[in-house]
Amino acid sequence: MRTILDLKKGESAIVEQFIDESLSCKLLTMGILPHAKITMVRVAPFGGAFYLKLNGLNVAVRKNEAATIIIKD
Amino acid sequence: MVQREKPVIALIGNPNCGKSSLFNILTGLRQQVGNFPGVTVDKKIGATDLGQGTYADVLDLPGTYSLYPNSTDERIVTEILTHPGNPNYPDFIIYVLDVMNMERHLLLASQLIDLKIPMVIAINMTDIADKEGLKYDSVYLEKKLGVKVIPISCREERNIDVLKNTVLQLIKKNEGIPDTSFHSFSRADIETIEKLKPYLEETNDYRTLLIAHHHDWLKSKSAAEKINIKNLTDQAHFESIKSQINETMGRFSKFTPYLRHMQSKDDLKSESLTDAIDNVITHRIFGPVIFFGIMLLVFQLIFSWSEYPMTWIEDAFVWGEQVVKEFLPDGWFTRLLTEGVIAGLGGIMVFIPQILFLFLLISFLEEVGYMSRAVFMFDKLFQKFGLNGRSIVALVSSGACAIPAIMSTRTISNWRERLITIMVTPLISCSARIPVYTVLIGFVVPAGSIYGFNQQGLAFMGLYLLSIVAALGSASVFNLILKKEDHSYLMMELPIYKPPLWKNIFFTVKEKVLTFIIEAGKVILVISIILWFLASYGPKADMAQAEKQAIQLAEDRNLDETSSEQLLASLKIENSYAGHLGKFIEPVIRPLGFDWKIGIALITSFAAREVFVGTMATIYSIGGTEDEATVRERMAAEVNPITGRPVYGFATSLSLLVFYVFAMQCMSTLAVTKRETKSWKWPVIQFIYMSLMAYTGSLLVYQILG
Repeated sequence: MRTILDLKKGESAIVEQFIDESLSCKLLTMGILPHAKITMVRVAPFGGAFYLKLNGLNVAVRKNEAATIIIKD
Repeated sequence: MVQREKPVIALIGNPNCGKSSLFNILTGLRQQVGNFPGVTVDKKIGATDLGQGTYADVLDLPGTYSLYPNSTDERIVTEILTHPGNPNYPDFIIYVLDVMNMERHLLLASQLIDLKIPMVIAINMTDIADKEGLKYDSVYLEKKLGVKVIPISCREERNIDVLKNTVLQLIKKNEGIPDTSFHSFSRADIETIEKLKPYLEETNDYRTLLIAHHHDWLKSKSAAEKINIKNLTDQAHFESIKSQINETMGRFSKFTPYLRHMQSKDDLKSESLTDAIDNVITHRIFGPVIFFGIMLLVFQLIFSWSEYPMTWIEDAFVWGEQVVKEFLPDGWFTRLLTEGVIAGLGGIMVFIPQILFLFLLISFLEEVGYMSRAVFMFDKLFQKFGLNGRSIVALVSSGACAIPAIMSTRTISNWRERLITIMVTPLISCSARIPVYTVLIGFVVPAGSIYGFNQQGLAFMGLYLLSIVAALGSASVFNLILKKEDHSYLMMELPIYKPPLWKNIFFTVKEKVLTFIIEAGKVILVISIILWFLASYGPKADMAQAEKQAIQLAEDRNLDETSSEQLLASLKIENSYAGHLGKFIEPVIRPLGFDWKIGIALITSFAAREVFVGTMATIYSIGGTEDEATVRERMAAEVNPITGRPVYGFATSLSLLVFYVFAMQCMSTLAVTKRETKSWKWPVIQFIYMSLMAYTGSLLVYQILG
């Protein structure tokens, strides 16, 4: 089972599902949906936050939030 | 429904959709900022002329992604829309949607459709879409959603008349209610709705469902109602999170196909430009370096731009005092007016240039999209201190004034992180401390340069660094003490870079400056008047004695009129209530190296820290000057009668500087902390911990160096 954390800088993957239910509500609301193609753009300078890109949306999420997004192998 | 003279139109949309731009265009200078009752969320409202002599009140609601809110700001939208009896319940909704992010922005649109409130959808940013060659089919969307759709551009003020006229016609004809519901509820949701509807006497299915989701924090429901709603939803086996996931996914899967039909989206220029900029701006190494470079530039600009206007304002108030003194007969009322009211007003106004320029630059950075990158970069670092990436806006703003800075923490959704930010923000050196530093720094560091840097300039920077370290250090302590509660989120959109809309910057700056004038102003004014009283009046016998002594001394020394007046003022303040207070606290502040004269200055600094300079001028009888150089010269000449050494020696001056870095000497800030935390507990703790830090810091400095 791979999550966003397993993506290298610049790598893309397809979102499969989410681990945390209450967090997934918030991710869905921002348009981070299953089957969406998501790109890991970069890690923040002091670590801990990820710059993600999907479908025209640039979004910053924390490491523990990114860890709940499962991607397809 | 609430009966009104003028219809209320609510502007609703996602963050960064351009809603505020539309609000500024519609209302212009008629806008007012207030508060929603019971919560500290800005309520922006203003009248607009829809044409044909019909006016409406436009209400700018906080940006939100859905009716399932994450923060206090966002909750207000759900609160209002689920309660038709709410005084702010809109008669009409203009939903603002960013054409460049149409898919995500349709989620909230589809939720509003199901609430069956009359509405139109304004597709914004069509100018960018046209430049990018991005197609959108508003006629198709209108047919699919069953509401009027109007393409507009706030940047070019395109089609605003069409939008206004459409709203006017719909309001006049009582139309605009969406034809059909958008979402088909799941069986479980229907069961909950059926159970709850009769109890709530509701007519709308979606509103009923939202109440089922949110009843535990909705203010429109009483405690007893909450229990009943909970029981009913339990009976229906309602699972809030599951239901929300289903609903959101259901909505997306219905409207995502519309986009394929309507939009062709290839590589967009604005997006690739944003990517290119972010490659540098959020880079691991360049990112933070650029940030600090920008901040240095910002503060450099603020200080150089505000130098002249501040002098003009000071001069204007001094002139005003003289004019009043000349035209009114001498007496307590004239003195109250000049030394209390006018001097107090001057003390507020003098900070306006710095605050204005700081917010001009910050809102510029915010408007182009830079601030959210700073939040992204520093989030992890700040989390270690119990803060949030979003705290950076507050910490930077407090370089000018803690009051607007504390108010800017409203965007932090986690209460604990917001509270810690509020608690430590006043430690950052604000503009009121600068005059005090300017006077004292010369006693600690001699003029001259070291390795090509101005020594006193470096010391100045040292004081700022000390304040930042103190703020982060205190945050860590609060982080250890305060109980960890619910989960905290970052999850923040990084919008594409756009050229700024100057109109938006103008209104933001105007709002912040007005907030400062009103919030700080009323407190500073009242305290100035109290302090004027304390410094001008004292026990009758003492004051008479002081007057006699002054006349005697003036005769002995053969002083001219001005000098004897200054001598009288100095002896009067010594024997006034303020002087007695200063002497009363002297034993407490003696170990810090302070005498009763400094004690008086510490007390008067409660109005605003810079009053220190004026008080020193009075105590050392150099008349009505507020000129820092003159005050410093006179202070340098002051000798301790017992030891024969200068009063403002290295140890005392440094101790005093440290005291001003840490001490909570601003009543207005405490008042704002009280309002934002809705309790007396936090301002009291803030006052105590900062005073303790100041006292211990100064004690250590003086005892080690003195």
